Amino acid sequence: MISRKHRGARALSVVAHDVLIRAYPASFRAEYANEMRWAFSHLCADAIASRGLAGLLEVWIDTLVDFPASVIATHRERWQERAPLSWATPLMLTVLPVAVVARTMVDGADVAASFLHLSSVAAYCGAIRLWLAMRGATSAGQRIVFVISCAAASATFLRDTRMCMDALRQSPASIAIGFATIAVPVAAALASLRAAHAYLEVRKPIT
Amino acid sequence: MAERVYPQWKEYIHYETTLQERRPVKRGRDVEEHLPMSSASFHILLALAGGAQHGYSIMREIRESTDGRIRVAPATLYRLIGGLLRSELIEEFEPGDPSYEDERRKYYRLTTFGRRVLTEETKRLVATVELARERRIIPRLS
Repeated sequence: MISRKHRGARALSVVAHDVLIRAYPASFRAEYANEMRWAFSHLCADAIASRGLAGLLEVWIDTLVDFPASVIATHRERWQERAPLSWATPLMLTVLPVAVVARTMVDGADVAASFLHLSSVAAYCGAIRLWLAMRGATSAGQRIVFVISCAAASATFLRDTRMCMDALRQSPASIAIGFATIAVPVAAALASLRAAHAYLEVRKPIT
Repeated sequence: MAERVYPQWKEYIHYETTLQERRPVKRGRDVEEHLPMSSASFHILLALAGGAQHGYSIMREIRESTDGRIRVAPATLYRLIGGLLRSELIEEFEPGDPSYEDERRKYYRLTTFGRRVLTEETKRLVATVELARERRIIPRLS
């Protein structure tokens, strides 16, 4: 017979575990949250029946040790499922080094400043990446992160636009070279990705 | 969008079209693609080799069969089960029989392909153990 204290500890554990489950992707929760809750509840009951609160503590240690890695792995897997042919990553990998060159030209060959400005480029990339990730997402927490990231990226974008306009007024030639430096590799990367995507579209099954 | 429902783009489905029928024929499903397996995935398949089970009984069996050396937490278990379902190594199973512990739970069982993968992984592990014996890492069985 399970004591009142143990029943309380089990109920509290299940509630705390429900909070942890919120960290997993919405689609994963929709599929498995009920099963996970039920399995965890039984796990706690068995541990308490065999070893009392020490058993429950062991269950919690296992759960907490597993938690960070499983959250990251689940998000990564779900992300890969959502965007198997994502063009965003190669595009960003092209844009980042090009942006350094362009920034260097705009800022007057100050490489250190260019690398500092990379943070703003990363903010744009993060916003695009998040926008792609958010498509179809329903979690309120994810939406809040998305809105905050978009706000930060927009502020950075406006600041950079102002800076570019100032540079354009001061030295139109250098900014034109900068834009060309960005446009040519980006266009080339997009064209090659388009071709790869078109090839894969042809090979895809009829659905 | 089409790619959303078709994440495994390497595994093409070719259609054999005739005048009467149009049926998909799966190709490229290779056992080798799933080897070597993670220890937890291997034990999940091993637990299901004895018959259909729900998530908690899989966890319990893994813990008992390994004397508690491998303990799979619920989150990792269901993440791995999701992956095994997508790879078609296991499938969901509707228990129509009242002898099952709890009919409301999701039951899983090995597919034929899953059994083949499990067999190949076991052979691979046996070969590794044989190699260890040859190198005198562990003693030979008399």
